[in-house]
Amino acid sequence: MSIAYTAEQILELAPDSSAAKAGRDLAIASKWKNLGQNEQSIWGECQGSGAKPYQTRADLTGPAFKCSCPSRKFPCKHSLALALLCSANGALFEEKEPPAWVSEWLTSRGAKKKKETPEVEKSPEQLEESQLAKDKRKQDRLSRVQAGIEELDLFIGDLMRQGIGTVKKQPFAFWKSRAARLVDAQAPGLARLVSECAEIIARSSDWEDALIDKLATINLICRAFLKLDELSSELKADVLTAIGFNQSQEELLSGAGTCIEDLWLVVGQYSYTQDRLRVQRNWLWGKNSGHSALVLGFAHGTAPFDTMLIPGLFYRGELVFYQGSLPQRALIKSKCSEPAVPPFVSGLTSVAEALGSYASDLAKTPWLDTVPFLMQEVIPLKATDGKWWIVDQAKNALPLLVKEDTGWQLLSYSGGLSLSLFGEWDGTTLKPLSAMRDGNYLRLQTVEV
Amino acid sequence: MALQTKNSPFYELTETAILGTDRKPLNRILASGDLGQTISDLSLQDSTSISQAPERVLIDQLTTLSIARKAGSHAKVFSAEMIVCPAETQAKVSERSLALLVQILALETKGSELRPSKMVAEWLTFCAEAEQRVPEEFVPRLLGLGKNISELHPLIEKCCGEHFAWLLDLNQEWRSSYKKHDYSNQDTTQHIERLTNTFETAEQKERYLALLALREMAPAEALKLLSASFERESFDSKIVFLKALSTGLGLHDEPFLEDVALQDRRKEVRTQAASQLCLIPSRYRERMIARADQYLNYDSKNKQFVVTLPEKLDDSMSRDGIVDNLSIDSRLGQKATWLCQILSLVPTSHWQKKFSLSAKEILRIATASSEWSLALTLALMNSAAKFDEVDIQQAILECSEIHLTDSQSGLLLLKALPHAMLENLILQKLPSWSRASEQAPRLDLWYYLEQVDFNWSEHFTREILKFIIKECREKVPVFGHTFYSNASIFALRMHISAGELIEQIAINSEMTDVYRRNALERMSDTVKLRYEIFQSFKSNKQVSTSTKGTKQ
Repeated sequence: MSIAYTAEQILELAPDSSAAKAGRDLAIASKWKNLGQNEQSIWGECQGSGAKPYQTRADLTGPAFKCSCPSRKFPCKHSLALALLCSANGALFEEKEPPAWVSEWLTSRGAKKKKETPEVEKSPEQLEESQLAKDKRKQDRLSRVQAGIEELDLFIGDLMRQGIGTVKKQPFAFWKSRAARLVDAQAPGLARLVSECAEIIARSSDWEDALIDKLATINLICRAFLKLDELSSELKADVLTAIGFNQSQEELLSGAGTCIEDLWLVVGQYSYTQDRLRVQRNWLWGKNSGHSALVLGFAHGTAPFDTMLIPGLFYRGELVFYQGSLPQRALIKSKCSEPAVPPFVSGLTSVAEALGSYASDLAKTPWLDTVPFLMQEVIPLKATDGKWWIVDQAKNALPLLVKEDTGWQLLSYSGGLSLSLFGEWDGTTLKPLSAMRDGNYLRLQTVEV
Repeated sequence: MALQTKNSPFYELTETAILGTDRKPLNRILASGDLGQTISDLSLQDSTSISQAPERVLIDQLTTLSIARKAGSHAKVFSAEMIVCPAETQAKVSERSLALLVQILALETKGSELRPSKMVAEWLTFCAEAEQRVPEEFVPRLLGLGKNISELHPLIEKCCGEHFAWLLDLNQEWRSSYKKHDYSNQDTTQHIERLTNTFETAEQKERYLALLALREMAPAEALKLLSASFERESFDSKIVFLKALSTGLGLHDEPFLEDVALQDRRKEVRTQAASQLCLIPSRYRERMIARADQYLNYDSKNKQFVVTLPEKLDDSMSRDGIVDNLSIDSRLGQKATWLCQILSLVPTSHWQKKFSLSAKEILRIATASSEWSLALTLALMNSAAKFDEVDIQQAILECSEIHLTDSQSGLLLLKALPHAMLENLILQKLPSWSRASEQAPRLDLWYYLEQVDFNWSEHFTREILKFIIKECREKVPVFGHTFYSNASIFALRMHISAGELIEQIAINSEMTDVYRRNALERMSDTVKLRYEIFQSFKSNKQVSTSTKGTKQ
C-alpha cells in the first residue's frame, strides 16, 4: 500500500525549496531502514551524520510529522523524504505494529486534540466582570480608532485638494508614517490599506486609477465607521473587521460563528510576506454546500504555517465562519484528509454569472477586496495583444493576471478544451490559482503584485 | 472602460483628483443614468451644505465611481475559434518519473558542470524509448528549457506528444527555436530551401547547424553555398564552416579547399583547410608526401631515420599551412617543429610501404632516432590520431616509453582512439595502477578518463567501479584532484548498470578526507539518481504494457 498523496502534494508542505530538494535527495530506499506502516501512520529510520539514525514518523490523517533530527525546519527533509518514498514505493513499508516511539507520539497527538476543549468554567460574577472589562476595552479602542479616522479623513482631504499627481514624488515614508499613526490608533486594517497605496504608486504605469480605487475603499470604510451605530450587525462586523478588529477565535469556535460541515477541497493556496510575517491564503470550496472559505495561515521566519493544508486535496471537516454580511474567512474546527476523492467541485458556469455575483457581493460589502471565482467550462487563450484571458461557452471573456510561463502552462493543460479555473477576482483581473480537468488538479504560480 | 474614456463626464473627476481641487475646481457633473444621478446628487448636497468641502465631495464621488466601475465590469467578447490540440495517443510518464525530472531540473549547475542538461537528455531518452510523454502542463517548461539546446529538440518533440506541434503553432518564439525540426512533412527540395535560407540569414551557430544538416543531405549544395559566401565571412566563421565539410568530405571538395580556403590570408584558415585536404587523396596530400619524402629517409644499415631539412621555410610550405613558429611542444626546436608539422600530415602507412617496415618498427626506430626522436614520435602520434590507422595506434599504446598524457599529441590520440580500444587500454593498465606503492601512475587513470568524453560500456563501468570500491577499502586510497573535480562527470558517463554496484562504495563519516568523501558522494548520488530514472521507466513500461488498451 502506498499513501494517496502525490509527490507534488507532499512537496507543497516543504517550508522552502532547499528542504524540498534535500527531501527529494533523501527519498531513496537505501538511505532508510525499519520502514513500516499501519492504517494511520508511516515510519522509518534514516541514517544522518550522527551515530544514531533519525526516527521519522508521519500521521497520514493530518498529515502531521515528527522527526528526532535537530532541524528547525518543519516538516524536515527526513519527514518529506519518508512521505515521498512511501508515495513512490509503498511496498517498501511493511504493514506492522508501530514501535513505541511511533505509538507514543500518535497517542500524545490524540490526547492533544481532546485537550482543545474549553477550560475551567467561570462563575456568573466573574463572567460579568470580564465582560464589563472587555466592553470598556472595546469602547476605549473605538474612541482611539475614531480619532485616527478623523485624522485620516483630513489627510485624504489634503490629498484631494493638492491632487494625487503630487504624491508620486513623495518618499515611501509619506505613506508608512501615516500607516504607523493608524497602527497607533489601533486600526491595523486601515494601516495595511494605506501601506498598499505606497506599493501602488511604486508601479510605473496605471497607478492613478488603482490609487483612486484604494483611496475610495479607505474612504468607504471610514464613512461606514462614522455611522457604525446605524449599520446592521453583519455590516458592523464587516466594518470592524476591515478596520482591524479581531473576532475572538475562541468565541467563534464556541458557537458565535456559523459552522458548516462538508467535504472541503483546498482549491487555491499562495503565500506572501507582510511586515516580516508570512501569510498563507488557503481557499477551500465545499463540495456539497458550494460555499467558499478563506483560511489564513501565519508564520514568522522559517517557522511552519499554523495550518497545514495541501492544495488539490479534499478534507472532511467543519469550518467556522467569521461573522459578516459575506462570510468568507473561516477557522478549521476539525479536519481529516480524504486523499482518495478526485478534485472536482462545481462553480460558476458563465462569465456573466460571475460578474453578476461579484456585483451583488459588492452591494453587500462595497469595500470587498477580492472574491473567489470558480469558473467552470472556460478555455484559456492568449489574445493577439499578448494578454491572457479565459473565455466561457458564450464567448465572454475575463482578463487574467498571470505570469507568461503560467499562462502557457494553463493553455497547454487545457489543450484548447474547457476546464475549471479557480482564482481571485479583484474587479479588474482574475488571478488564477488552480485549474482542474478530468479529475486532476493543477496548482498555478501566482503573480507578485 | 467607458467610465475612463475622455468623452465620459466622469473622466473630469479623475482629472480633478490628479490635479487637485486647488488647481482644478470641482465642477458639477451632469450625466444621465443611475450613476450620473447618484454622483450629481452628491454635488447637490455640496451646494446645500456648508460643511461639505469640495475635496470631501470629490472623494465621495470618486468612491461612487470606483464601486460603479468594479460592479459594472463587462466581459470582453471573443469571436475567434480556439484550435484544439489533437488527442494524445502516448501514455503519460509515471508520477515517479516526472518527480525525478523535476528533481533534475532543480539541480544547481555548478561552474562548468553539465549534470542537469546531460541528465535531462538521458531522462528524455528513456522517456522516448518507453514511448511515453510528459503531462501536458509540463510541455511549456520543457519547450522553454530546450529552446536554446538544439541537441534536445528531437527528444523534446518525441516526449511532448501532440502538444509539441500544437503549442509551436501558438508561440512564435518556440516556433523559430524549434523550426529546424519542423520539416517532417516537407520534401527534400523544401528542406534544402529552408536550410539555405537559414544559412543566409541566421546567426553563426544556427548557420553552422544549417550547413551541417545540408552537408548531410546534399553535400554539393552545401559546398556551393559555402563557396558563394566564403570570402565575405569572418575568419572564425571560415574555420567553423570548414569544419562542417568534414561530413561527406571527398575529392569534389578539393577545388574549393585548394584554390579558395588554402589561399586565405589567415594561417588558421589555411591550417584548417590543410587538415581537411590531407584526409582525401588530393594534390595537397601528394605535395605533402613528396615534401616528407624529401626530408625523411631511412638508413637501413644503422636502422635509423635520417632527417634533412631546408634552412628556411619556402613560400609553398607557408601556402600549404606549415607555420614557421608553431608552438607544438616546448621541447622542440624550430626545425623540429616544421618536421613534426609535415610528417603529421602523412599517413604512417606511407612509411610502412616505402621503408617496408611495420608500424611497430617505425615507432621503435623513431623513438631511437637521437635528436629527432621527439619530433618523429609526436608526428606519429598526430598522424595516428588524424588518419585513424589501427596498426600505429596499437603500436603507440603498447610502447612503454610513451606516456600519452605527457604531450598534446598524446592527448589528441587518446581522444581519437576508438572507445573500445581506449577502454581496453585503460583496463590493461588498471592492474599496474592498482599497486598501492605507485601513487602517481594511479592518478593517470583519472586523467585518461577526464580527457575523453564517451559513454562507458557496461563491462568497463563495472571494472572501474570495482577499482574504486577496492581503492576505498585501501587504507590510503589515492584519488586526487582530477577525480574530485570530475566525479559527477564520470558518474554521468557510466553505464546505467552502475546503479547496481554503487551501493558497495562505503562512504561514511570515517573518511577524513572531505574532498574525497564529497566527490564520492556526488558520484554516488548522480549514479543513483540516473539508475532510479531508469528503473522508474522500466517499471512504468511494464505497467503500461499490461494496460496498453487503457492509454489516454
